Amino acid sequence: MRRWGLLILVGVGLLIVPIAGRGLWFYRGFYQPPDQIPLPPFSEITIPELPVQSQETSSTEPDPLDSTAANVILIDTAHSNRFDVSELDTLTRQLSSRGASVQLLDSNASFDQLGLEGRLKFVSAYVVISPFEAFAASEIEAIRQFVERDGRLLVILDPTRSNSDSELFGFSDFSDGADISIANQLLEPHDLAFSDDYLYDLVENEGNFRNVFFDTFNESPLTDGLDIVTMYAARSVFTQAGTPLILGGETVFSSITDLSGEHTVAAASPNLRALALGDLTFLQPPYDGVTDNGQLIENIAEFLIAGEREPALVDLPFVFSGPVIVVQSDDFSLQAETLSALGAIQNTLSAAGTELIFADEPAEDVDRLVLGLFEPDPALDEFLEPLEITFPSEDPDDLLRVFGFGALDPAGIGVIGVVREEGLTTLGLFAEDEEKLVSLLESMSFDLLQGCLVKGAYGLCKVGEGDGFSSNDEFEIDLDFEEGFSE
Amino acid sequence: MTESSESISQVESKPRRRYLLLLIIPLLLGVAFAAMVPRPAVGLIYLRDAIHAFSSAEMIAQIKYAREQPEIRAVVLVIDSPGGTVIDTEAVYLELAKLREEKPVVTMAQGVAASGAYYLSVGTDYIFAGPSSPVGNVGVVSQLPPAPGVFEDLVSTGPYKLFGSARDSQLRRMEAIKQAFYSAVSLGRGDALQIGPETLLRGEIWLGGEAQRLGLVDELGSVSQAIEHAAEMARIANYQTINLREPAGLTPELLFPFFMETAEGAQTSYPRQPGLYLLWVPPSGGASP
Repeated sequence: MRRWGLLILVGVGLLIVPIAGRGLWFYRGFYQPPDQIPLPPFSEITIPELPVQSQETSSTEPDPLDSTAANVILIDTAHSNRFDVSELDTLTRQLSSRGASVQLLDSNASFDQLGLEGRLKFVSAYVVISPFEAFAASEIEAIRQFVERDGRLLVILDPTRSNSDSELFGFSDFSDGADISIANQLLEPHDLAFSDDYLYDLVENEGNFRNVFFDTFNESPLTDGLDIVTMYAARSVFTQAGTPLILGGETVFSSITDLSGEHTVAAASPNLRALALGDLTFLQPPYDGVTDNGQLIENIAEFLIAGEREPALVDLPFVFSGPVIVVQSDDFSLQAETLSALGAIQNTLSAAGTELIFADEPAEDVDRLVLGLFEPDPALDEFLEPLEITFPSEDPDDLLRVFGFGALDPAGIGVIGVVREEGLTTLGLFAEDEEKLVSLLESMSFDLLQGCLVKGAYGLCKVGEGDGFSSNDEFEIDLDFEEGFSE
Repeated sequence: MTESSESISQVESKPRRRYLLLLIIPLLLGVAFAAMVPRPAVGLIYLRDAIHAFSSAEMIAQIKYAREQPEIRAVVLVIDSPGGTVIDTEAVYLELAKLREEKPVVTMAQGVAASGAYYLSVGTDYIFAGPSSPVGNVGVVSQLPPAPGVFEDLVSTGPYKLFGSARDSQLRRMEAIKQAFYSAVSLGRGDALQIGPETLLRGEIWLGGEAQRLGLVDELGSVSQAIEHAAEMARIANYQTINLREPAGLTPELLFPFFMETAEGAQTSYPRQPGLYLLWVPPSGGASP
């Protein structure tokens, strides 16, 4: 019996050994899976929502401007600019509510055959957005002079416009960046420059790393009422002596360095007349209503119309803002030569979109072209006073006095001056006699005073022989260029 | 005497043979049953394409096979992929999580393990990478839909019926997907991860060595090492390795037209269809559509 028991035991062992042997040959234990395989909380992850406006924008209606040259905003579309005019609707609405009008510079329009130099003569602000065609040196100089004469320059770049995307991920060219160098050529005289980067914030952003909050502002009318603004893919701007206006915090990085710092997205030139802005998207709905973007757009509109450009003769024929009525001295009647010269003036003004009209009585609300002789005339006094031109008295030794030129011998001189008061422009042309006045009119109409000595709002032209000129034809006159009258 | 002793010997040998037979039978049975103990295997699943509807379906079929087959004790995911669509990546990720409840899964980033491919990697138990394998690229890419418009002949019942969402909504959805991706990395890598979201979410590609230093992968190595590690985790020895593609009943790999091609037929890095992608889009060597 014991033998059988032993036999069964051995048999079972023999049965198990191969199984156990093979099992142990392959398996050295049991795998212990983790207690729990953690998964992302998919259902708890929420989609970030568009933030609401952080505060009300200005509740008061802006004061409409007078209809003068100072409220025409010229937007450049002549340099292969990558934007659609409709993208500026919010800004243009703000400008319109302030009485400003928006005009486009289009190289194909017949009106723009005058070129940028011509168009800048009659605008208060010039806006350039993402240009991809270089500006001529003469255009850059014209813009510089325009800003010098209190015009406003706004240059906007947007990094999303530097790349042209045709199809899904089918970028035909990556960051060609031509807009940066073109814009920087414009901005160089104004101590502003864009960087070839974009700003991003991975920590605190508006739905995407490239949508950056900015909450640091330097004091300026452009930053009034701003607590926080949001830019939707923005370039940084540099300035040495100018004013960085809108700056990012420590979590805002520049793509070109991947470093943080006080990156600037908007900066103004030292004279606060040129503004470089690194984003276009925030101007468009729905982003124009996010945080204080609406207030910033209002501030930009105010900036564009803030220039108080005094009329200057270099702006001819764009010194007027509407129809022009001719006012002449009672001392002379218009003769054939004068009418002919006025006809030429009419053509010149017409080309600039201004109508020349004749009336018995000067209208109160239109610009004026005043024609007179160097003789006291009570009818012209109201125009002469703001022009600051004093005619010589009957004393033969008395001299003609013109603001900025001092005292002059009136012989052979034609004087032209322009002034804007209460929204109306007065352009006065004066000479010794009607023949010389005709010569002055012709000088203005045919070559826009090219042969004259022009200084700001005043010009002196040679319109005949006189003691004030040498015998040759060159315009030579010894003048004291002090401001105001020389005693 | 001789005859009688022979007869005695015959009488004694009968029980011995019986005993021997009684021992041989269980031994044979033991050997037979032992033969039924399967040789363990480490299953290999290869991802050598973008993650799209076809490649993800094939991966899922292999994962299910690995889960159902007891001899498959561990799985090694061999990756060389720039990622792919969000939905297909997430589908595979969730299947891997289910597999990991039963069997260890190890990733070998043999080539690229970028974006969605890295998403899958962090959903495994251990990550190997080649010393110079591009790893990371955490983030989402997409093309925004067109702005809503109305057309004369193409009509719909809602402003977003045609394109699905507003442009801005698409951007925000990307952010939610990115958060899920980051969460997956954070959960998968745990304390090993040496960088925070501000660095990880820049979407950078790191080489294997850097990735190991930053905690994006566990170890630099090869497919063999990954297999050995998977076997160790499963506590098996003398195992076999099986490419799970054929056992899972899949046909030979077919080239799925996921990427856009140039007019000359050169493949670009850009997907054909608009959508949301966990995809690395490297420059295509000048080959743009």
